[in-house]
Order: sequence, then structure tokens, then C-alpha cells
Amino acid sequence: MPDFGDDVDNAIFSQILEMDENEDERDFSRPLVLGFFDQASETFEQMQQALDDKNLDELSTLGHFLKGSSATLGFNKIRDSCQIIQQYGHRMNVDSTAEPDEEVCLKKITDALTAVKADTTELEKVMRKFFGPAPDEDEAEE
Amino acid sequence: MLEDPSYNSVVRWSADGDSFVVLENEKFTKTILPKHFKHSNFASFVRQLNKYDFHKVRHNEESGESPYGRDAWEFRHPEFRADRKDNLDNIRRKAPAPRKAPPADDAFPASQQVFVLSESLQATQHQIQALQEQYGELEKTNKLLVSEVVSLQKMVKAQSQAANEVITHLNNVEDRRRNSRHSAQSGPSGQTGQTFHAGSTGFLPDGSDEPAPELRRARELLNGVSPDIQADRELERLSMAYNQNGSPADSAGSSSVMFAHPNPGGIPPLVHDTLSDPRHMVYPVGQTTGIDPFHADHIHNIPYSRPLSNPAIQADASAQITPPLKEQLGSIWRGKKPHILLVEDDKTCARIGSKFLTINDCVVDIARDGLEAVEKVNRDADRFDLIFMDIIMPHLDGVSATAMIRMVAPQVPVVAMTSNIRQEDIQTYFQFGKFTQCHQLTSRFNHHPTLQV
Repeated sequence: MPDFGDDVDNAIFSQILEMDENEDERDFSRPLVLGFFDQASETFEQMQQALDDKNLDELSTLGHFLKGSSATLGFNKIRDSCQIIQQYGHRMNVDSTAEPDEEVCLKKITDALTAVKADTTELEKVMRKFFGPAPDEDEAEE
Repeated sequence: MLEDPSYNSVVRWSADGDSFVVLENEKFTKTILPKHFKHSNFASFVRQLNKYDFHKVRHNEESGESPYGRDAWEFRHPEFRADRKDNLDNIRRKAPAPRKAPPADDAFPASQQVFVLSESLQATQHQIQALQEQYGELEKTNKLLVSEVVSLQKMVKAQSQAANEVITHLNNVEDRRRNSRHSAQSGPSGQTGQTFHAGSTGFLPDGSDEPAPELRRARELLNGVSPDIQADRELERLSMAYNQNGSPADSAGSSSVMFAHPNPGGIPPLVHDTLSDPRHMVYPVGQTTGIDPFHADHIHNIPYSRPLSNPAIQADASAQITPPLKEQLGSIWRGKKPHILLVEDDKTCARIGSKFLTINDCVVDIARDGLEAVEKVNRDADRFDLIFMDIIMPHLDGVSATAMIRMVAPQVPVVAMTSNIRQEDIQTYFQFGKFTQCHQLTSRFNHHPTLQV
């Protein structure tokens, strides 16, 4: 497995890859990882909408949601940004102290969202390269 | 291996000789695989087969189950035939994976197993330690009770002696009073008076001129209570034994001393003794006792309690003996495959979770949110052996869902999965959801929770 750098927890990610029955087809990890990017871009749209609505609660929920899947895949950098979004959605700083100023929260979330979008786009490129073009639908293995 | 008739019931050629069948997955993994491979891991065996382009033969819905039984695995390769050994050279790895040599491939499952085993061993040791602590505690309590009883007995004895003394004294006083009356009157009314006078050392009179009836009754009461000699001796023995064994200071003193300082000196050495005493170090094989799931030590080492096999005793599960832990941890589940409900709204997590569980030979059912989970459990409360529950979900969150599930299926272990790592959150989950265990998302797959649980 190539080293994906600090943005990816290589230990976790390699475990995901281990679950593939077949290292050439990667018919478990490929749809999983590529599916994540679809999920991420959907979530980013919803986050943008929630930002426009100044709906902090929704932002917190969305942040938590994407934090879960990114952490599961070992995508640390994305996970951390999601954590920030979740925290400020809760009107809290990252260290869990209260941040009563909603404008500050929204500002922090806007920054985090911009960053996480860029990181995700970057990572998606790397991953698409790693997995290569989708093969023909093979007979599904066990 | 396929031609060995002694393996016939476990693995053999199919009737047509164009495929082979693993009939008894578990036996195959445990006894046959290690003889031919460096591991005993069925999943790796299958993976190897796939690499060499063997395919599992599927039996579709119409034709029903495989002719070899539902749990049989049949594999086929076009060049792999019972009558064509010369074809074996045509079976090759498909486009061999460049990065990994096969031995490395084998090594991983082996180390994984060692890891799982050591995890389970650790869990067992934790439980034993808890048991030993409990045992030490009980022993200590018992010891206290025995010495307390002994000193109470002493006190009672002293009291009754004191009472006797008082009665005797009162009798004497009474006698003297009578005698002085008698002598003062010198009358015939007390023909037994002289006898009395002579025996004024405290004998009870048996004449009509007895002392006050209250005194007589008191003495009768005192004499009526005879101690149980047998029990006393047993107590004495216990008390001696404890004195030799533990800290003698505790049991020797009077009750007030004992209750004033019952613990400070007592507990630590005793518990410590129990733990280091080699007599207590016998590990129960294949059996473990239920533990307090909320105890910090055990949060990550809960035994899988297999509630369906004996739902009756689950009500007070924490005090009950649960089924053998080791058995659960065999590479393939003994008997029935565990049926697991995975409740997770996140597609990525659900997918990876179910894949992971499937690899470990579990039957997985997925619910997308709390409502769906409650529905599934309501339909058949006994169906699931274990539930993995996400916390934050749309429609119905995991804590509420678990609380509802508890109403119909109080015995099913529910493991919370969350990336919320704040301690107070976790407390809340336990408190309201009555979760069996809480597993943090970031670590859940590295630590093989299913095997650990």
C-alpha cells in the first residue's frame, strides 16, 4: 500500500484494504471509499445550506455524521475538520469551552468547511488514482 | 487432503469430481487447515483459493440449498478435477499481487489470532482478578462476622454471669430481711426459717417461703438458655483459623474495637494475600462469571453473554455465570452463528461494520436508524444475540432506541458505538440506554470488538 501521508491513518486504511478478498479487484474497499466521497460532497452541500440558514444544530449533526465515516476510513484530516464543525455547531470551542457568540461559531465553521472541502477534493484525487478505473463488474466473490 | 478417506466427512471431492466441498467448516479449520497451511483461518483459506481463481459454487434460490448442506462451502476451478492431476500446473495465481508474498499473507491472520487470543486471555484474567477480589472481600466479611459472633457470645456469657450474681445478691438480701423479721417476731410462722438462716449462702429455698417470684423466674430464664456446644466449637475453630490466616488484631478485640477499626488494616493485606496466594491462582477453564459491566476495568472486556441460550438467568446477569468465554472465541463460532443487528445511519460505517462482522462469520442485519432497529427487535425479540448501536441518528437516536429495546429484550447486549468521547456523554449513554458496553468509533475496528465482546 502506498503511503498516503499524514492526512490518512495508514494503519486504519490498510485494515480496510485487508478486508478485500482480492487485491486486484478491491470490490469491497473501492465502492466503500468512492462512496464516501459521494457522501462527503452531499454532506458539504447540506452544510453549506445550513450555514446559509445559520442553523448551528444542523451543522453539528452533519459534522458528527461525516466525522464518523471519515474516522472509520482513517481520513484523519477530514475527521478533524468535521470535529471542528460539530463542536462549533454545539456553540463550543474545540476544547469544549462554551462559545456563546454564534457569529464566531458560524465563521469558524465556514473556515473549516472551506478547508475540508479542499482536503477532500485532494484526497479524492489520490484515492481515485490508487483504485484506478472501475473494472468490469466481475462475478461477486464471497 | 481431498483423497484421505478419514477426512471424508469434513472435506472431499464432490460427486462429479469437478469441485470440492468443505462440509464441516469448523472441523476443517481446526484440524485440517493447520496440517497444510501455516494458519487455521478459514477466511484466509478462502482468500487464497480466490487468488488461484477458485470460485465458490453458489446455489441460487430456486434450486434451494446446496446438496451438501447449508453450511457447506463448495469450490470449483475449471482445471481442478479428481481425475486430472496433470492439469494442476494450469492452476496459477491470477496476476500475482506484486506487493505481498504469500507467506506474509499467511502471517497476518496468525498474528491476528494471537492478538485475539491474548485479548481474550486478558479479559479472562481481568474477570478472575475481579472474582478474587470479591472472594477476598467475602472472606473478610465472613471473618468479621465470625469474630463478632464470638465476642458477642463472650458478652452474653458475661451478662448472664452478672445477672446471676445480681440475683444471688438479691436473694441474700431478701433472706436477711426475712430472717431479721423472723428473729424479730420469733414467731412460729416461719418453721422453715431456721433452715433458711443456715443456708443463707444463696441456695434457693424450696419451701413455701420462697424469695420473690421475679428472681426465681429470672434465674430460670438464664438457665434455660443453654449454648449450642457444637456450633460454638465450629465458631471457635473458624475464629482460630482466621486469626492464623489474616490479621489477628481484628478478631481478637471486643466488638466496639472491631467496629471502630474494622477496615484500615484488614482489607489491603487480605486482598493482597488472596491474589498472590498460589492456591487462588487456579484459573477456571472455559468458564467465567458475570461481572459488573460498568466497572472501568471491564468496560472493554465484557464476556459475550449469549442471552438466547438461557434467557431465564439473564435478569440478574451480573451475578450469574455466563457461558464459556473461550468457546465463543474459537476461530469459527461453535454451533449457531451469532445474529447481529447493526444500527447505523452512516452508509460507510454500516458497510464496513457489516463486512467486518461477516468476515468473522456472523449473520448481520442492518437498521438505518433507531426506529428501524426497534421495529426489527419488536418483530422478534429473541432473534438477535448482540446489537451494535450508533448514538446519533435521524428519526430516533441510539439511546432512546436502546431504552425501548430494553423493554422487549432486556437481555440482549447492546454495544454503543460513537465517536463522542466525552466522558459525561458516555455516562449518559449508560444511564439512560442501559448499554452493555460503549465502544469508541476510532478504535472499534482495530480492536476486533466482536471477538472481544
